[in-house]
Formats: sequence, C-alpha cells, structure tokens
Amino acid sequence: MPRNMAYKASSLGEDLLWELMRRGSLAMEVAERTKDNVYAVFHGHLVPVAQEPLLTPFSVSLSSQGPVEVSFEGNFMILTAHAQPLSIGRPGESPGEIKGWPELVKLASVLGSLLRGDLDLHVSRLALKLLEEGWPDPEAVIEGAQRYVGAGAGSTPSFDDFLAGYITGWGRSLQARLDLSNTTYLSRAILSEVLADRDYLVEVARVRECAKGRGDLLHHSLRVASMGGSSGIFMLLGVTSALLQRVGEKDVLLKLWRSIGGTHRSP
Amino acid sequence: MSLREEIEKANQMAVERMMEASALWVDVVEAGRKLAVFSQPTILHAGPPVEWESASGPLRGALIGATLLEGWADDPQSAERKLAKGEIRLLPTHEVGVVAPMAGAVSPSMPLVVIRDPKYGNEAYSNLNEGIGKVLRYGAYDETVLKRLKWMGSELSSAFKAAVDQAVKERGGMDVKLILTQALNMGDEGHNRHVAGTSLFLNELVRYMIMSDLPKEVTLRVVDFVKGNNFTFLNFAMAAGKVMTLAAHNIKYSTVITVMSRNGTEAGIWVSGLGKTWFTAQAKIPQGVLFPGFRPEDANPDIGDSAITETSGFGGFAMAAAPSIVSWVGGSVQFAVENTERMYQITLAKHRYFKIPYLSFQGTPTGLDLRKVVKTGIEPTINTGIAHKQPGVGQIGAGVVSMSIEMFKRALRHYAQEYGI
Repeated sequence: MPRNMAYKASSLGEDLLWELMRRGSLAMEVAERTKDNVYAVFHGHLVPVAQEPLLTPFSVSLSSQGPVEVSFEGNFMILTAHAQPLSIGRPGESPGEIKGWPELVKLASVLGSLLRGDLDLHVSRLALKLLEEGWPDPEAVIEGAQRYVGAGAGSTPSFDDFLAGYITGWGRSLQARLDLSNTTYLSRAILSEVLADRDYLVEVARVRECAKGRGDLLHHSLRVASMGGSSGIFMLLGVTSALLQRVGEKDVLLKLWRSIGGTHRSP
Repeated sequence: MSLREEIEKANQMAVERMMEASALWVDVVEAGRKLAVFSQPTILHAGPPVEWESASGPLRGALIGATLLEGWADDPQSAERKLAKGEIRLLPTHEVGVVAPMAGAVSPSMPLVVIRDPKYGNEAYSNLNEGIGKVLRYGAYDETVLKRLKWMGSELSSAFKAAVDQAVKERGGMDVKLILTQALNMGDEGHNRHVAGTSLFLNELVRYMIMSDLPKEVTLRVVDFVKGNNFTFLNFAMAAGKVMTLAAHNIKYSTVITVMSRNGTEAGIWVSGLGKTWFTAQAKIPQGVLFPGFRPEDANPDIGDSAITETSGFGGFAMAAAPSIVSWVGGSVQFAVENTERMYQITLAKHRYFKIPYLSFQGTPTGLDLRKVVKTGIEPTINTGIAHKQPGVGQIGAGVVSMSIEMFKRALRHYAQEYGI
C-alpha cells in the first residue's frame, strides 16, 4: 500500500469506532506493511487496515468512499471521522447446540483440499497428531501446540492460523496460555488478541456461531477461507476441529485431517 | 487415497483430457437429422434452461425467428402465441452437445457443423455464423434475417458439406484445434476476435471447395460471405471448445468447470464431477463499446454459449494474446494482460498448445477450478457481444462481463454435499 496517501474508510471495528467517535480523530503508529495491508497499533491492539482487512474489533476497511478519512504521514496513520461509519461487530457467543458441524466438515474438507506445498501439508500432519494425542482435552491440545507455534510459511505461519481458529472455535470455554516468542510479530499480535478475546477474529467467530444456526454457514466459511494464501483455510480447519471436539466427533475429526493430507497414525 | 488426492488426480485427468482432445471438423448436417430431440417441435437455446415467460428480449426474438423459419407460424404474433403456450419445446443447447453464440436458437432445419474428437470419442455441434449486426442470434428476425438463414441452410451448408467431405477424404477432416492454436499466435483470443482464425479457416476451405468441383459462382459467393464475416470461425472454435470440455466432463471428484453459459436472463455452469446439474445466478450486463446511437441502458444481460471458449482455455482467458481486442471490447492492452494474469489464479494449468506470445509463450490459463473461484472470489472474465434488450434489434456492441460468484458458491455447496467427508 503506497505511503503518504489519503484514503477513505467505510467501516471500522466496533472498539476502534467507539474510540474514534468519542475523540473525533485518532493517530496510531504503523507497525507492519505488506503488499495489500497495513497493520497499525492502537493502545496495544493490532489494527488491520486494507480494502479487505482481517475483520477484528479494531479493523479499518478502506473503500473509495466513506465517512472516515484515513491518512498516512510518515510512520503514522491518522483517522478523522466526518460521520459515523459502519461497525464491524463481534458476533457474541451463544449457548446454542452445534448442529451445523456436518455441513461445516464437508465444506472444510473440500476447501482444505486446496492446501499445497510441503510446509502446509506438514503442518496439517502436525495438527492431526496434536488433535489425536490431545483428545478429548482442549487444554492438552493447547499444551501440545506450544512446541509447534510458528510452524509453517508466511507472515502468519500456518500452524498459528490453525491455532487461532481452534481457540476461537472453543470460545470462552477454553482457558489457554501460550508462549508466543517463537513466531512472527504479526502472528504473535493476532494470537495474543485471540487469547484475550475469543471474538477477535470476527469472521472465524461467525463461523462458530453459524454452526449453531446463527447465520449462513457457507457464506461465512467462504469468507474465512478466502483470507490470505492458506491462512483462511487453516483458520477454518481450526474452528472446525474445535467444534468437532466440542461435539465429541473424534472419528470425523481425524477423517477430516486425513482427507486433506494428514497421514499421522497412532502406533 | 485422501479427498485432496482424489480431487487432485481427477482434476489432473480432466485438464489433461481437455488439453489433449482433438477437434476435427468432419461434417455438416441438418440439426433435425442429427439430434433425436427434434422428433417433436423443439428449439434449442443458449445457456441454462429457461421458459418463455422469463426469456429475455433477444432470446424471444431469436425463438420467434426460428419458429418462422421452420414454418411453424405465419407471423411473429402467432409464433409468440405458440411459444408462450409451450407448443414448441425449449431445450438448452449444452444438454445435447450443441453450442451456439448469443441466443443460440437452433431449430431442426438449420445446419450444424460436426466437430469430432477421435481421441476421446466425443462429438460437438454448432450452427453457422450469420455475421454481425441484424442477425437471429441477437434476436432479429425480419425478412433479411430469414432469407440469409435460408441461404445458409441451402447453398452455404451444401458448399461447406462438399468441402468438409473432401477434407475428410484427404486428411480425416479439418483440424480446428490447429487453426485455433495458430490464431492465438496471430493476435486472436478465439472468442471475440477471429480475424486470423477466419483467414486461416478460409485458406483451408478454398482448397477443399475447389477440389470438390463446386460451381465457380457458388464458390465465389461462399468465399465472399466468409471473407466478409470475421466471426465465421467463432462457431467452429466454440464447437472445438465444447468437444474439449466434453473430454473433461463427468470425471468423479473433479472440480473443473466444463460449461459456462448464459441465456440472457441467467448464467449457469456445470462442474465435471457433478454431471449435468446447472448452477445458476443472474446474468450480468456486459460493459464495453457500444455502436453509435445506443446507450448502456439498451443492453441486455449477457447471453450465449460462447463462454465455452473461456471454459476450454482461450477467449477472455487468453486476452493477452490479442491486444487488438481492446478496440472492440474496450479497455486497454494493460487490462487485457492483467485479465489473463488474473485468470491464472483460478485455473489449474497453463495450456500445452494454446500459447500467448506476449507472455513469453506461456500457455493460456486452462481448467477453471470451482474451489479456486470461491476461495479467491475472482469471477471468470468473458469477452462477449452485447445484444439490445428488445427483440428484433440485434447487436449493439461488444465488451467484457464476468460470471457471478453466486453460481460458483451454489456449486461448491452441492459439491461439498456430494464429495465432502
């Protein structure tokens, strides 16, 4: 994304929006730039900025028109509100039953078949091993996951993407702690947010809720899968894995991972 | 074998067969003699199934014209009444192996070119191209249109038949795939630009017509007609595309798209592993260059089977091969190149035979993958003609359009139900 240019934003994450409407304008430091995205930091929170950013309570969604002016000056991003933009809201966690898991598994298996490359397939085998060994205890999965944090390619390594989806899928019922010193800056920032706020990855959390009958599961699964190269697919597989664990479908879970290339078998 | 491996294997096979299929022109036959569906009053049309009530203006015009041509009605009003009452059956071309541009109206007396793929044992058919402007495929049906169609069904088709018989005798038929391959190296993209393709086709045709001892004046009229219509080769290229995609169709687990087509109201696709099930969404209105005197609001939503060219790895997907196309469909050369580059993101292979000189002779993007379309959100781009929305007017321009992501999402849902674990 070009530096020192002015943009507009049409929608903002609900937490960032609340601050912006309270103060009229916000300045924040840019922490990382990729080809299509800028990541700023506001009060310790990661702020993804792009035309189609990772949707979080702090995201800035750029568009050709919009009530918020977004300008970049040096290493700072400044938001100025002229009117109220749309809010990217957390879906919130419902107590509903996870009845949509069969459809989700079918979608995840087909989209998971797009995974390519030795690293991604290696990560899928790690995930399979971890889930099989940790069954049925999610805390055991997280504990085991510690040794794989940072595994995989990209600015957010594939294993971390899986983990972010998995933690989101468990929602508030999972107590989890991870040492994130072995991964990339971006991944560390996202996983820290997810550990603190189970709805931080808004689209992934929506998939979790859609599986409980709250919305269009296909639509939101595709939204998640479309993120990045393979990031979204690993997040989708992560959330699906958590939901399968929650409903006690171990065989389906293992079958899902094997269907996309995981070949780990217990001795 | 894992699902991923099953899909990979099936897609590899589908793309391999699509690229390796032959496409030989071997015959010209009357549609009614070739296809059993014409045993009762029937008209084929482009795109997914549609009833008269929801048919668009240009399709209605073409159906009226075909009804008049067959003598099933004496005037447009009674033709319309018969069509509205369902006395004439409407069937999608693709369902019987036919592809036809724009409205795609094919009735029993019309000649069909037969394209054969001896390698995989398939045949596909297309009608003959009438030229541009006021023509049946754009919904025009006045006397000049019907007169031309009658001539095409008699003298033109007889001359083509004589020539192709000679080609079959000498070389087993005319190699349409070879012409297409050469044309892509000469500035055509094989959908909306056929300047090279039609010239190469004519080069071959003339020899066979001379060898078949046709009267000189007939030869001259046919040569003049073909020479005056750069789109002559379109229908041959489309039938070639159809025979290639037939080779890739019906492969269990395959996510390769084998049909993309539009009827002026809806657009639809087939997926190799899902048989002949249509997945549809509203057809979009093409954006492009309009002929003088017409406005964007005159344009009908996209129509025609000609997206079979993109489906089989040329047409809009090969835009970078045809910089001159932008003067016809609008945009810039850069846009043409970027479009081809974008299509690589949703396809599985680079074509082994269809090459793009400007991209260092890279193969064209081939084997549209359902999963990649929904994953990336990139809609396949089609080069297309623009029809007036009122019946009887005809072509009003040419441009570019995309196939709505919604039909791909529907197909993915169905695919996941069928094959997902």
